Amino acid sequence: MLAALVAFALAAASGSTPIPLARLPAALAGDGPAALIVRELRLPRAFAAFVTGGLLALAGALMQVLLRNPLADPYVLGLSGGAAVGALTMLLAGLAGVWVDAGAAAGALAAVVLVFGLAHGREAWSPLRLLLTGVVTAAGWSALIALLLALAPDRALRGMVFWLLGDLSAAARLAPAALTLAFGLGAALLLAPRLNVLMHGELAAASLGVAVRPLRLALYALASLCAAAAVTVAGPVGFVGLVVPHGVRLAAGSDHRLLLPASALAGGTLLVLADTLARTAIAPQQLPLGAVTALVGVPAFLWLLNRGRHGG
Amino acid sequence: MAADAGTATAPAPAPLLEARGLSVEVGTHRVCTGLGFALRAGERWGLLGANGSGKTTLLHTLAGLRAPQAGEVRLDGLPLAALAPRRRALRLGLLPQEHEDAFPATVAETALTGRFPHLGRFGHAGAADRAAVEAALAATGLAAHAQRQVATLSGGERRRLGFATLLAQDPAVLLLDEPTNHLDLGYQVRLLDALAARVAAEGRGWIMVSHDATLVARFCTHVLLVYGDGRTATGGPQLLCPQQLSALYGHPVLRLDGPLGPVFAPG
Repeated sequence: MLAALVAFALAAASGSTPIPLARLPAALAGDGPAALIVRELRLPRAFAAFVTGGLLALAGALMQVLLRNPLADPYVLGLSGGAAVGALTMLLAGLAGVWVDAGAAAGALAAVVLVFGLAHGREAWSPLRLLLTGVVTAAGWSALIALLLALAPDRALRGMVFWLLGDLSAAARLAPAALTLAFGLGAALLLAPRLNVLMHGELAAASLGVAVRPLRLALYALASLCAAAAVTVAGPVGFVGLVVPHGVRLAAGSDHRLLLPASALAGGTLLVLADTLARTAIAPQQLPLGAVTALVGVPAFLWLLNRGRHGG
Repeated sequence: MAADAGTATAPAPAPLLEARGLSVEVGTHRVCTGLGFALRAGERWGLLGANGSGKTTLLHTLAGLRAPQAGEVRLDGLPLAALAPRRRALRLGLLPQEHEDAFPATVAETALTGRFPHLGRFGHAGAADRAAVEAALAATGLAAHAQRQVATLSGGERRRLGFATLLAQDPAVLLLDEPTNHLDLGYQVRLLDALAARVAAEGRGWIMVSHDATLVARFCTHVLLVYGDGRTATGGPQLLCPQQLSALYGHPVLRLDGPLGPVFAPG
């Protein structure tokens, strides 16, 4: 919680017009250019980063327990691919703003429904079947993305690549995503006691009195909703959804009543810091957010893997 | 009805678990057809059959985790299919054949999952829940390992944790799927001895899937044989004879007389 506040303060203070941390309260309350910068530009953007990171980490934690696979992330079932195809199609058509968001949301929804329909065949869906279906459709989406990029004229290409790397500079209309985060976290907390049992397997959960089938559906819908909202705001920002729940598990254990809210908080904080870094590191040039989080995420993940190998 | 109430003798209590006309199939494989039996308080049933005969499938059907093709299972006289999962779990528990641990958790946290049906909506564990977990860990020799990570346990220790989780759940009907898997000889006997004593003293009942006819002869009061072609046989320990077991396994089985009862060995 404290780290989140510090991250917000840093995000508000850093930028092309540095504002010393000591003068932040004054800038928040007063008038003048500094107040304008903080209130109108930096805080909304930090808030967008926080909501996106929170959504991604929450979706990742839910997806991991749904598939009982610690390597699952919010995009493992091809959701980001669908969203990208939708958004890039809009960009290719020369549309911008809300159309791109709508395209991303529609693509994400299509990907979710497609995987659900394919995996939900005659037999009961095992996590492995769901995972394989997701991975295969994700490969299909990748091919479509490559096709769209190859067909794109040069003037559209830069915007498309930035969208693919994750970018908060165009983030607007935050209310739906913020509401999704609040709703998602509330619903996830209601499910948390059942998730503590489900993480030991569906057979164990069912024999202990958990109605597994509706729980699975709720998890799938909730994780997809959160990931889709995040992708719509910021594009497919990687690694937050994979790494943050791991870090929280190592630090605070696997009790989902703590894991889920802590993941949302830590994911939000991480993305606020990453976004601050992305827009200040070589200012005025802005780095793509997805690239920065991945640069932070890759060594963090390798470190976690190595730590796990020594038993822990 | 009301007029009879005074004169009628008290009805026998409903069996803990009862199968009525139960038919179970997996694909085209018939596990049982029209199976009927009742598990009453204090009884311990041993379920024997060859590999792939459907013992686990039958056990899961009896646990209400899978619907039968025909017939029904009753728990305390009520149809199992109509019971809410959580209410069922207060009376009936399963020790699964394998345990799945995808995420880090301590021994105590894992045993606490057995308390799930007893917890409130927000999953808060009270003093009674913690006491039940402590007692269960002590009964399985895991008290000193409460804070260890599950991933660091040996196979036998993980199996004892499975027992502890079931003991923490505290059900009246215990369905045990090859409970002695991974256990050393000492723990096999000590855990089953302690559980058998509780079953007898507290009016519980168990159904135990096993490959070990000697163990079933020693610890069970009743036997259920699953032949793998839809035929089944139920009865007392006299069913454990070389003729029946040889037919069950398609391999000659010898009976030797040991100091603690019959010993069955492959011929």
